[in-house]
Amino acid sequence: MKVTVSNLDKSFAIDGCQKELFKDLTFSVTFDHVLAVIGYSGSGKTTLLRLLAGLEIPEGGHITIDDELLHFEPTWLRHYQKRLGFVFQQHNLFPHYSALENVMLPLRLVCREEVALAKEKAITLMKRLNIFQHAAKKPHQLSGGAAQRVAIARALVTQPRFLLLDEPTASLDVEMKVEVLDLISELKETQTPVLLVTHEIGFAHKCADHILFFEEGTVLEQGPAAQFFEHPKEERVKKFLSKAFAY
Amino acid sequence: MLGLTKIQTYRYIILPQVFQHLLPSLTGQFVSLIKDSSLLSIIGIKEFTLAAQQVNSATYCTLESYVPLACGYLLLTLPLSFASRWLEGKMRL
Repeated sequence: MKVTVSNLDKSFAIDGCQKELFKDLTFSVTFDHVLAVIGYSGSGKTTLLRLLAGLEIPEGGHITIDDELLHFEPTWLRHYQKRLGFVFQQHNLFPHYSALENVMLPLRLVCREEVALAKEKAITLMKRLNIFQHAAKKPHQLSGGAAQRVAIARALVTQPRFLLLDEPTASLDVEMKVEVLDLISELKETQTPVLLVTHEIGFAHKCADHILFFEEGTVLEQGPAAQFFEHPKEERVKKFLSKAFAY
Repeated sequence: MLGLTKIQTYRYIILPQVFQHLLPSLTGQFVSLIKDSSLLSIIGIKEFTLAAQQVNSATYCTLESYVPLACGYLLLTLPLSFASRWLEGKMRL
């Protein structure tokens, strides 16, 4: 999968002041399975992911994914968004539906599949991801890890072109983190490319095949995971990694 | 989840949650409204309660006058409760 960003501008209004996050952001990255976006908080990782999903509109510039230019226009975006999966920091499951209904929902509404077929597909996927025991539970009855795994199943059920994961392990305890990270590792087998924003540097090291390091709205360094972690070029990256692996 | 139309978002995501919170109190309000219609008897409008009172005054058969009144109110309010539950079910997938 190839992502090309050129001259991207994005700013936010904070307390009445316009704060520029990306100014002429330009980079190109090619990876096979998992791209991990890492960096300090507030550096623009989540915003980049939301821009790639069409959830934020840039003020200028272009984004190309596998030679397809993103058009930030509502009808085009809706069709584009049908073909991708997004998992938020909080699971964002719909509280009035059971886990199974949450997983069925995209098949019923986005792919317009029959109830029986949607149910069968959802059950098959939930069994494969080892979450079928939670099928009848409502989101408030699920642990954080289980809810996040259901959210990943919901994103995967339509067989998206690629999957965007925005810090899926944020606010989870160690055991739940491991549940979710194990699942993300298993996603490699599905051949669905994954773009992952994470603070789990160890996991990025182990699982990602390409790393993008963000700092203050720019890509400070990028490269294949092994090279990035073993021979970082930038001083700031070296410092970041030494801190990340200190404990 | 991405890719829903605005209508789908309202129909399957927003309104079911709104109705889930709204329906019990809304049903309660309607039931109260039906029962409060008996207040009209005070100002002489002939409705269910006044009719029962008049039957009672004329026949002195209290039980026979008021049991049908109770049943009548029940007949009006029970379907409302059932309709509310049915609507909750319809809001599901």
